Amino acid sequence: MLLYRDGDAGAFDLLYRRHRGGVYRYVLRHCRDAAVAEELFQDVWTNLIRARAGYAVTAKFTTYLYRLAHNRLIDHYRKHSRAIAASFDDEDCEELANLPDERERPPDDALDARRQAERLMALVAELPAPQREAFVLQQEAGMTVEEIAQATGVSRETAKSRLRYALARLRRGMDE
Amino acid sequence: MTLNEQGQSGQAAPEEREAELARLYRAGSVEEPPAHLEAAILAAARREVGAAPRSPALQAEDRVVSSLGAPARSTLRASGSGAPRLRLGPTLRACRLPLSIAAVIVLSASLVMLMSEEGGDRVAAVGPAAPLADRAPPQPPAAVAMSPGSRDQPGGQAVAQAPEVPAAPTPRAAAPPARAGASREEEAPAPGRTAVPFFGPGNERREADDAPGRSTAAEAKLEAAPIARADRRSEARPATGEAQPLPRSAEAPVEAPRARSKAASLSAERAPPVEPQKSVLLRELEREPPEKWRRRIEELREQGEQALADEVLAEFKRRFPDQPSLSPAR
Repeated sequence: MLLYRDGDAGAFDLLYRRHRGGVYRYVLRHCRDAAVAEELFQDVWTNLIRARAGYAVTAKFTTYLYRLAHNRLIDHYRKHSRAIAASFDDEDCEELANLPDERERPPDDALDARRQAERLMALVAELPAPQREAFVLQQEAGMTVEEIAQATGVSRETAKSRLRYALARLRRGMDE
Repeated sequence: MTLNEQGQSGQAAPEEREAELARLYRAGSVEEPPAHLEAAILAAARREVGAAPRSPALQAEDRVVSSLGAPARSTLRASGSGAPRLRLGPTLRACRLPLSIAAVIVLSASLVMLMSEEGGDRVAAVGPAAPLADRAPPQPPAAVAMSPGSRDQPGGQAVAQAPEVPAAPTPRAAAPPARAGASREEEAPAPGRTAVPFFGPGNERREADDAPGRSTAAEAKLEAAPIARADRRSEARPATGEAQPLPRSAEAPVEAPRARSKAASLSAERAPPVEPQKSVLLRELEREPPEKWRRRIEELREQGEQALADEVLAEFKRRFPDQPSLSPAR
C-alpha cells in the first residue's frame, strides 16, 4: 500500500488480486445479496483508493482493509435501518454449557465433502452477525484474535469470545 | 466452561475439528467478485495515481509470469531476465515521468484554452454594449423593452445591444439569481479526486443519496452546459440588428426558456446554505486529527446544525475511512 501511495499502480493490482476474494466473500456473507455485496465491495476499494494519499501504517494492511469493509457494512446497515445493533450485542453465554461434547461425535464420514461444505456455509449464514464476522475474518483473511479485534473495533476479549461462540455453534451444527 | 475444560483435557480434538471446519469452509467458499468490477476498480486505482492502463500484451505477460509460481517469479525478478514484462519494466519506468509531464502539459494547455474561450464569452456577454454597437445598428426602444421571456423565442438570432441604452441589462446580467447559484455550484466540487465518479450508474445513485448538494450541482451543470454552448453559437453568428438582445439559443423550443428558468430557480432554492460554513470548517479541520473532527461534529449537532454536521461527517468518512464511523444525525 505504501508503494501504491507513492504512485505505483502495479502495487495496487497486487493488493487487489490478493484480497479481492476475501473481501468480496466477507461482505457477501454479511449481506447475503450478491448485488448489494458487489456495491459494497466497490465502495470498500473506492474508499481505499481515496484514502491513498493519507495512508499511514498503523496496522497490518489486511486489518486496515477489513476495517474499511467493516465500516462500510455498518454504514450500509445504518442507512437501511437494519437493526444490526441488536444482533451485535453479546451472545448468550449459557449456550456453551449446553453444547455437546464433540469428541464423542466423530464427523459423519458418509457425507461427502461437498455436502458438508454446503452444510457449513448454511450454518455460517445462520450465525449471529458479530460471530459470523469474526469467523469469516479468521477464515478469509487469516486474522488472529487481536487483528479481528482491531478490524471490528472491539476489545480482544470480545473478539475472542465471538470467535469461540462461532466455532462452537458451527461444530454443534455439523454434528447434528 | 465446557470449551475450557475440553481444552485442558483433550487439546487435539477441538483443534482437529477447527482445522476440519476451516477445510470445509475453504471448500464451500468459492465466490469471486465479477470481472467487470475488477476492471472498474483497477482503472480507478490507475486513474488515481495517474498511471496509464496496462496494455493487453502486458496483461497477458503478467498472467504468464503469475502462472510460473512464486520461486520462478522471484528468480526472474532477481535476474532481471525471462519474461518480457520484466525486461520492459525499467524502460517503461524511465518513460513514465516524461510521459506524465507531457500529459500534464497538454492537459493544462487544453484547460487554459478552454477557460480562456469560455472566459472570453462571458466578458463579451457581460461587458459594455459599445463594442457590440460597432457590429449592430441602433435598436429601437421597443427592442430593449422586450421581456426576458421573448428573448428566447425560436428564430431569435444575433447578439445586438442598443448603444442608446447602455444601462439595459444583458441577459447574462439580468439572468435570474439561479444562474449565479449554478456557477457557484460548478465551482463547488471539491478536490478532483472526489468529483470523479468512475463506476456505473449505481454509484452515481449512491453519490446522489449521500450528498444531495451534488445532485443540485449536477442539475446546474446540465442547465448551464446548453446555455454556454448556445452563447458561443450566438457569438459566432454575425449581428443582424434584430430586436432580440443576446438570445440564448436560436434552436431552443419555446418551452425551453421557461423550463430552464424554472429549473434554475429550483436549483437555487435547493442550493445548500451550509456551503460557506462548510468550507470554512473544512479549512479549519484540514490538518486536524480524527478526534478533533469528531468533537467538532458533536459540537455542531449540539448547536442544532445538523445539515452542516452531516456535511462534515461525510467529509470525515471520506478522509478517514478506517476510523470508526459516527452515526448520522437523527
